[in-house]
Amino acid sequence: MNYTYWILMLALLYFSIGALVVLFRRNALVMLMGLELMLNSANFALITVGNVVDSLEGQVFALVILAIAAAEVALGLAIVINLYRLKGTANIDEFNSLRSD
Amino acid sequence: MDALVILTLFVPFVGFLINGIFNKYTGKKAHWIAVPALGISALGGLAILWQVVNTGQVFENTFWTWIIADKLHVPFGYYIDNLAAIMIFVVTFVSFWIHVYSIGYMAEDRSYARYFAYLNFFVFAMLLLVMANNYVLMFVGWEGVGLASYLLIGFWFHKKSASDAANKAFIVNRIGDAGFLLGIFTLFAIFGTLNYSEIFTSNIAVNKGLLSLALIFLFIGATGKSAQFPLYVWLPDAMEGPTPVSALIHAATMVTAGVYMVARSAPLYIQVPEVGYIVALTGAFTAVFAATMALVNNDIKRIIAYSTISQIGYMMVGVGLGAYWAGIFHLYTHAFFKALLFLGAGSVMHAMHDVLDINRMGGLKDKLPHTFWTFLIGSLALAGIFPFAGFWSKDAIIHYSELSGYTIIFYLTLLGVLMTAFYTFRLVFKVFFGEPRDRELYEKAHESPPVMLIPMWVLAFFAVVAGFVSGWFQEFLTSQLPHAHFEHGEAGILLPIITNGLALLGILIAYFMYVKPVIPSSLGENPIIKGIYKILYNRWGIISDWYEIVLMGWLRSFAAGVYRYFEDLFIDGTVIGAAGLTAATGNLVRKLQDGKYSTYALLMTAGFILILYLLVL
Amino acid sequence: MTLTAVIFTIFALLGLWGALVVLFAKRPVYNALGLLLNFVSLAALYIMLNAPFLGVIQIIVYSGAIVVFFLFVIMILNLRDPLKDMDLSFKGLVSYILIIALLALLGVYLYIIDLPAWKLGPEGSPERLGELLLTDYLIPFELASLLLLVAIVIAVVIGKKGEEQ
Repeated sequence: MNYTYWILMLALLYFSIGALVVLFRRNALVMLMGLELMLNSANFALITVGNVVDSLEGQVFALVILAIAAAEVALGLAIVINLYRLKGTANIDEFNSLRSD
Repeated sequence: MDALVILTLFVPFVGFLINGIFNKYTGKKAHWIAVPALGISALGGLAILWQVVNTGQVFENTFWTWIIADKLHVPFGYYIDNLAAIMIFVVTFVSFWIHVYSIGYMAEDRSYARYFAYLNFFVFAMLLLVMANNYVLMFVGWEGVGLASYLLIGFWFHKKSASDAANKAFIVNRIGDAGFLLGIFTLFAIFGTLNYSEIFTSNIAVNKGLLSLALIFLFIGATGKSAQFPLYVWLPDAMEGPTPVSALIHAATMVTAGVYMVARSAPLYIQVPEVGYIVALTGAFTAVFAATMALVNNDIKRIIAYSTISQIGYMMVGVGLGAYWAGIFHLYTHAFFKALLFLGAGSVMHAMHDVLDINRMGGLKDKLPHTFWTFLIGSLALAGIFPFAGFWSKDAIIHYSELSGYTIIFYLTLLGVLMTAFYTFRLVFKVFFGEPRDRELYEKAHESPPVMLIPMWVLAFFAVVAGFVSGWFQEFLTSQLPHAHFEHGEAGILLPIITNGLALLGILIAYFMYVKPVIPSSLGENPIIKGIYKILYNRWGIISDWYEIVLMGWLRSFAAGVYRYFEDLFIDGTVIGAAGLTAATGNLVRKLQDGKYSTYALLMTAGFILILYLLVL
Repeated sequence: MTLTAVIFTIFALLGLWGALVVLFAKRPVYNALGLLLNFVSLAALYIMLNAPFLGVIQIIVYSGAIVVFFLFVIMILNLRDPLKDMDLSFKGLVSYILIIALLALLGVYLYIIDLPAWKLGPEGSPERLGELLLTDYLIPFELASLLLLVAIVIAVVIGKKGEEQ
């Protein structure tokens, strides 16, 4: 029973759900949450692989990603607040002024 | 002989080139190129005739081999025997005098140089036709004269009637040409060669059926070019061209090419007399048929045109029955008097300001004496009155038709004599005798200048004397051409009396109708007479108008239908369809850029996954 | 099944549930809470995977700060009404299929290739990690901190601009 496979599959599953959140939900806030989910799944996979190859690099990488994710969330939310102030809604489908026609 | 041939054949061609290319410079002086060119050519023709008569041999030579394709060798060469020599003489001699006449007739035309260029070109093509030593080269000349005819009929191309007539001539001719080509193909299939000398001396066992087919095809070509039934419809319309053109091409030379072709192929036709019978019957029928339409026509040129169709019918009777020399003899005399008649008509038109309607003429014999006398001589020759030229040749043909045993042909030719005399002198009486019907025109009429009258007198001279050489002519041609076997019959005195009698009868009837009308006019009210008159006046309706109805009518609507169908459906459809497709695709692609993040995210994800797939698999 | 495996599975399922809540919840706060559940479960899993430091950091930073951040924004924007923003159109179906395809692909792929056997690696203690961070991976460490600084500045600027409008 190769646990590696299953744990990685779990990470993949989290990633997929995160992707679905991003693609399915139209609310900017929820989409950011989905994004966080995806980043976390990446972290998870990294740690797992780090364990398997007997090195701490996975965890170091995960730490850095964590920091980046935090920064990104901060910015993302600031933008979302601005968008909300602009249009009164956080539904990203409303922000289509760059459409081609 | 080589040099003579080149001289006779190519000098007119050079004249054509000079006048054709430099017509802006030659302008009013074009005749200084064209007429001497024809003069040289005519002298060359005489020289050739002299050589042939003296040596009695056949001259043949090839300048170069034009087509070499597997088994087909087509040389560019000449074959000059007695027959060709006579034709060359007739063509060059008559052409020369008509060129001279044209100097006067076309003097005021703006396209003077172009006219002479075309005329020279015609002579070149006609000579090529006559001198060729194989059927393909003859066909080249055949097409060439057809082209010249088109160009000259439509000379005043800005007149719709003229350009229509030119088209009609060319298209109807084309139909005949299709037959000619089929004939050439069949001949090649039979003999494996198209050179005269090889075909005529070939001793392979020839399939008579196949040969008949080939000869019939060739005759169809002759029908087109020589305006026999049913491909005669172009000739009356061809009168739209200048009168000298009508004289040269549509009386003396081009239209006789068909007769020449049959005579040239005599060694073949003689083997299948059944085909000859078809030729003769067509000729006889056409002779009478065309004459019927000349009886009631009021256009001076068209009467003469129908007469030409009729007389060529006589020539076809001659060559069809196997009396080749007789057909050619009539060709030769006819060239003189018919050209003369046309030139006379031109002279009348010149005097009457190009009016064609004989109902507006009358009493011109005092005003235009030269024209009158030459025209009278020509008419007497045409009617076949002894001792004018036409009598000798026409009677020879009628004699042979009697001897052939084909009574229907014989009676048709006799009937033709009566009708010919009648319509000819109807023309003479209505134009030159009686009271002038249009006073104004009459007052302004004046005789033509000498440059026009001299050729007329020359031709008139020949219209008188040309027939006297009939004995020599017969000898000359039959020494080389085959001759069918006829029931023995001496040319007695009875037949000439009958023919002359019929001719005089025709003249008398015309006299009593138009000069001293003793026939009561109430006869004209008779419904039968009126009915017949109507039919003839309408030229037998659809029989003559088939070109307009079938080609112009059906073809036009068929073409329009095809155009509507194909153009709208396929071509327009394709273009519009292509545009529509582009627009639709564009529309589709445009939807990708809707400014919505969700779409972009989806597309990016999709692309990413696709790449993953490609990497893994 | 060992006890470890069972506990592992429990936390895995909890994380999964949290993720699904994020996907399907209608009220924004529920979304955030679902996220919180996921993060905490993941932290537990990290600890079980010999990454205690990371697990704790996960709780402090992610669930403690980021989820709180989300909740702050929800409250500032006063999002109370149920969100009616699921994309159920054709695009949604396509994305659903795509993700399934991704899962399928990688699932099969990983199955086929030989993954190394499972073992627990070195202990991710703060000392060990700190060592690495300050020696081999100094540059990423410094850059990460620089990034955080920049992010703070920008966030403040954007936030300020928004207020003025």
